[in-house]
Amino acid sequence: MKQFDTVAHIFLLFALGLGAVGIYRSRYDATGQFLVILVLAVFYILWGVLYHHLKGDLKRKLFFEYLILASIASVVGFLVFGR
Amino acid sequence: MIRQKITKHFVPHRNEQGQHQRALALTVPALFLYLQILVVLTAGLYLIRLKAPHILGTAQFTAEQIIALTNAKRLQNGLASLSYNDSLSRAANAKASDMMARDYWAHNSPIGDTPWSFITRTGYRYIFAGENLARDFNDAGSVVDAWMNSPSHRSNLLDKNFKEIGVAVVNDKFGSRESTLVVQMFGTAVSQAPATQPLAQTPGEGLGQQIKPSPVAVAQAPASPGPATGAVSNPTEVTVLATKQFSIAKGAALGLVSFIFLLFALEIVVTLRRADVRLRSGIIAHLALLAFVLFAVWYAVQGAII
Repeated sequence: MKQFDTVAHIFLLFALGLGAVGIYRSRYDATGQFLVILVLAVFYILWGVLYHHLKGDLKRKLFFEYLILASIASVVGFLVFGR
Repeated sequence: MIRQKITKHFVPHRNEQGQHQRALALTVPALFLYLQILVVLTAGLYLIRLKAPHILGTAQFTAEQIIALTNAKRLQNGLASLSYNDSLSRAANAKASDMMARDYWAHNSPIGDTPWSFITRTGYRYIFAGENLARDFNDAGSVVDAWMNSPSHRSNLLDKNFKEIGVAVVNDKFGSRESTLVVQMFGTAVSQAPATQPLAQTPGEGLGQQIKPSPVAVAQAPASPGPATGAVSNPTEVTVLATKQFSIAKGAALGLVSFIFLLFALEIVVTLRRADVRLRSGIIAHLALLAFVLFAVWYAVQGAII
């Protein structure tokens, strides 16, 4: 289980790292940066659901936690990059 | 007692039954409250920008400033200054008006007009031409700095083949709200052809085009009225929105996301120090997502260029 945790988190960090590269490369393209955040927010929810489902501890409360954090990321993206 | 109550909001603790509890400020209802705050702030700023944009302030912004700053950058890089050209300025104004009227943000219009179409329509016959676009900046310095930070736009600004420049700064409704567009057109008239032809240029995001002296499209255009050299004869001073919206949005987003990030980080630190408490599932992932969001917001800049 420890190995699963490690692999899953490395996968997530890799995706977030790719997103950071996307943000870096699309400077002065607010729409592009917003899209990167939006895609990663959706990915984050999917990752969370899959990760906790495979771990067997997926609960409604946990799902809402992921949903709210992804929503915060998306709203922040719209707030800052929405032009 | 009061200290304990406050601590419970920010630090993981045990309840009366001895169960491990997360900080109250990190419960699902609390996270939902932060989301609501962000939604209200976003909606408020959006409505202000839409209905009463001048609340966010205005600033003076001129084409002349853009030209002066462009020439300053060229001089710093050992290049000759560009002369103001009225035809290029009219072409830039026509391009800005066309973008506003047809609601597009691109070098080529939806009906297929290229930047060169706007230039040739003014009667300017060119051998080299280029275009840089910017929108929603507060001041001329930020526009030119943004172009200088982008390799393709920088190559237009510092292209030794360009001799003349025309700039339009237009503030009007763009899409559903007020926006400021900056169009910068570069050119070298046929009459200024250098003795030797340079290598072809690759168009980047900032468009540059070099053509031989007599391509059909240009040859058919009326003769150029001739470049006006020296100072800008007809600078257009435009009052633009000094979009405090961006700094307000960036500040608020950084503040709120940092707060949530620090609470999660504190929970990890406190949990790791306690041997009897296990790290909550998913908390590392939350921290990683928030770190990514913080990076994106911190790296955000005002305005856009193509």
